[in-house]
Amino acid sequence: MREVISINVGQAGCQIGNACWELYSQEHGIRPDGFLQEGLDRPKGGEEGFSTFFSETGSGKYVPRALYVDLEPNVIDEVRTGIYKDLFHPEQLIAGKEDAANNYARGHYTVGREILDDVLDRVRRMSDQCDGLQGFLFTHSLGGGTGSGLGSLLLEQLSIDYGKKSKLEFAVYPAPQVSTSVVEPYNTVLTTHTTLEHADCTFMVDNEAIYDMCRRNLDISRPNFDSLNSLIAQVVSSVTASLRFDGSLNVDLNEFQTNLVPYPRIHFPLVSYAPVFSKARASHEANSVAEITAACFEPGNQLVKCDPRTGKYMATCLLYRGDVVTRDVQNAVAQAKAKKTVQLVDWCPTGFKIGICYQPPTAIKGTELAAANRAVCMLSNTTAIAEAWRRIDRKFDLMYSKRAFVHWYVGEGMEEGEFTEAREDLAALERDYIEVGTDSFPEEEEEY
Amino acid sequence: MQLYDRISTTDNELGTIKFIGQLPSAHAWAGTLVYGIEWDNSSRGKNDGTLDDVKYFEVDVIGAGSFMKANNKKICKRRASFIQSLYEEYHTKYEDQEIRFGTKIVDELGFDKLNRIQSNFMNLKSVSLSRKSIVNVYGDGDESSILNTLVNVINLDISFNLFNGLSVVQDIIGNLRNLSSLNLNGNRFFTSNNSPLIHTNLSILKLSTTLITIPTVNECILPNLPNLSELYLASNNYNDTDISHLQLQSYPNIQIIDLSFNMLTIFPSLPINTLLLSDNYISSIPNQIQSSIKTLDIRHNKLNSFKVIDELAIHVPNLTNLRINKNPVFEVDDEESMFVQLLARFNCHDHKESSTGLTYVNGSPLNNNEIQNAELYFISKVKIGEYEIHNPVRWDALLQKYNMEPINETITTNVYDDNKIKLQIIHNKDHSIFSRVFLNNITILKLKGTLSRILLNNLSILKFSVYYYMHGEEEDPEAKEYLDMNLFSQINEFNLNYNQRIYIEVFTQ
Repeated sequence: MREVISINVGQAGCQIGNACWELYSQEHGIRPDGFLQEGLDRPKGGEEGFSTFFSETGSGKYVPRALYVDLEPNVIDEVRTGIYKDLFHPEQLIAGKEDAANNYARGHYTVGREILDDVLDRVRRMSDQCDGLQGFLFTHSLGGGTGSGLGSLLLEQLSIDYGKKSKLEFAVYPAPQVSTSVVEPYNTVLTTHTTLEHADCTFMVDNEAIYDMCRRNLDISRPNFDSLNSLIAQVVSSVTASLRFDGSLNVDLNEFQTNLVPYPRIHFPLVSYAPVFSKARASHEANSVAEITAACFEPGNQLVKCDPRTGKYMATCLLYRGDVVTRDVQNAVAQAKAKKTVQLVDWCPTGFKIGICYQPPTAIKGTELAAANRAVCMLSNTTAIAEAWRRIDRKFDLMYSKRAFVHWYVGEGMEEGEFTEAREDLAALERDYIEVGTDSFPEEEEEY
Repeated sequence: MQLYDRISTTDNELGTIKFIGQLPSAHAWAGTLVYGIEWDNSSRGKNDGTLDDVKYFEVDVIGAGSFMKANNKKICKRRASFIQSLYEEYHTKYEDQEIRFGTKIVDELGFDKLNRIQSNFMNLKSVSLSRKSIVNVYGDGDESSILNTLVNVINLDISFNLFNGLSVVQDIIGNLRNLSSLNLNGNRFFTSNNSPLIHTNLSILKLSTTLITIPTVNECILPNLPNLSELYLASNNYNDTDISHLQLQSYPNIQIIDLSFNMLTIFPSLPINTLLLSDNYISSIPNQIQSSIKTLDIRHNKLNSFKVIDELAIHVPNLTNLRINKNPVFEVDDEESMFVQLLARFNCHDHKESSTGLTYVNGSPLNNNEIQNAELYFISKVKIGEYEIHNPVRWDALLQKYNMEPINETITTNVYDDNKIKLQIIHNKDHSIFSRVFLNNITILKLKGTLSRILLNNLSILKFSVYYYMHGEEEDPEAKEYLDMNLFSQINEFNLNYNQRIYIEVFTQ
């Protein structure tokens, strides 16, 4: 019951998917070949939660409810030949032959369209196996061609085919440090415009922020995608922990949105995660509940670079994991409240929720991030995240004012009007954020 | 209160009572009971246990002592028992505190359920009682049978409490049959209160910031913990002699030792798999092969030349995971060139293809492309003399890997600068190659002085001699010519080529 299908699109999506499924299977005690680890008679963490992400075959093997989609075969071939090759059914791995060349138009209109039917067909078959599908979890990048183009195309189609099912996204926001192409701002703006009304809740992951966390907290001198992705996986795991384990909050994807999304367009919660420290330092870093809670309100632990002190919070969820005592949580939140920097909008009556899942986080072998006894993931809908949109819009304007690189998109049959339309939509989004941030009852000018 | 009792203060500091008594009548505090305290945080201290030139107590860390009136309000009254703290923390009834953020009530979901689960101690797998001012196991009226209900606890954290001996700890863990990880950081263990820790399952033991002495580790920790695999001894003020007494030889189960934040200056010789040595003062690697070490963290040390890095590559040959950033040798270079140098100096392999050889450097997994790029770049830099390598075996292996000839001497003859000359110095003892650019007009006296300082540990210049082979006829005794017949002749008086090999011959008595 309450199944969730994960769909990983594009290179970034598939690689993050890999990191996530590796972590999930370790957390639930599943071996790389899909069978239970020795000494277990059932998956860890409660059958009910577990079945939301894995399905069981007749032979006692567990298969992720996941779909890998990419327009070029490289990354998917790595899955097919990697250690986790037996975990997936060949039907779950869909690769095209011609890549999207970092071009949204190729992913969305030309190359992407060709494999769309195939993908939808497999999604249909996978959803047929579910008793009560609750929704989809997308992982893709905003900057790449496949992730942005095909990702948004799939989201559009899914909202036609599966109307009311919720669609959550983990979207990788482009960063200059680990950039692969110059047209990332175009792709980001275009895909955001297309998915704005189809995705129900989008958790953005800023590569720059993750990069800085790797360098600062994990002391990795040259973080590469593997380092970034394993950190992202840990955060995704924390967000989905309440779906996979017997927890207390958000047992339903819909609740995520109800809690966090006051308006359909304002659906980009800011994610923060603590503690992040390396294995070598794990023994002498303090991570009491109070400390990790305080760390969550620090910009250094956020997955998107922005300053929440300049914005206002509309809604906040704190998801604790591991060895946590309720009284400590209450004290920690009371302390956080005492800080002047945490401002909430006045028009929203509720909006601060705390959930605890007593399954502690697991460390992936071979990565730097240490396993802590407890961790906390904060999802907060704050107006500060508009900063991320402003940044990308500015980069878009720089290039588009000279119509640079536009011919690649037009060449694939896209109309130039779509650029302006998308850009205007994003400008409207920025204005929406300003609007929700202002207090609803402005002080009346007194008159005598 | 007794001597060696531990105290905590309202500002969250911990300390040990090292003196109880009265100050002489001349002092303003005369007549009141005074404690002499050594603070765990030495910067909280004011002196070394000396007041008005009278020594009242000894301190372990200089400057960590101070005096306080016994009735000082800062000293916390709370001295709890383990059982009492356990009850307070895990057995409380859920009370809705109604925390408000402005107009908003904080929604607490499932808290009562969690409390219900936790209040049955049989359900607890992990117990954290850090900074709870615990001094003993049972207080007045505590039931001793409670400990038996904690059988399922795997992970126990009782760090930064007021324990002052291992015997109390043993009383607690003796009953927790399934315990596998124990955190005792920030307590103190004084000899008089210690008894050996005995446990069959314990595998991870954290004893950082405890100043536990190495003899105590040898006697009380190692012998009776057969399953122990990870031992954390960070920030315990150990020096090289302390560590040389650590007796790990008979405990092959121990895989990880953490000695970071200590005061080591020499790379210790320990027969284990993973050695964490970050934040010490290590600057030299002893001449001894350590084949057991696979993972090494030597960040924030004092490694200051690539010679030491090469020695590390030679003497710790089986590394698979190395963290070495933030050492002085890398400070001059940018991160890219540091990475290149490391990759080329160690025998690196792709992390996906190989389980031996160095596959992780500074936290990044390596791949073949990166390794090849780095190695080729490094070779080219060595050939033009910008980098130096002190590891002939590795150098030959690198050249062989890419089918390259050894350094070609003819092209580089004097093409660079007329008044400088580059010489390769070869030591006749270990045949290590060291090259350096010299001014053409320095005297042999100066050359020998420089060599003695750099390579020979300030050996007297009369105790060694330098020679070269004329016309490039290496090893031909006919062509051998000594440079130091006249110490005041200049280098340019000899017929030296660019990159000429100069041999050092140390006289043996």
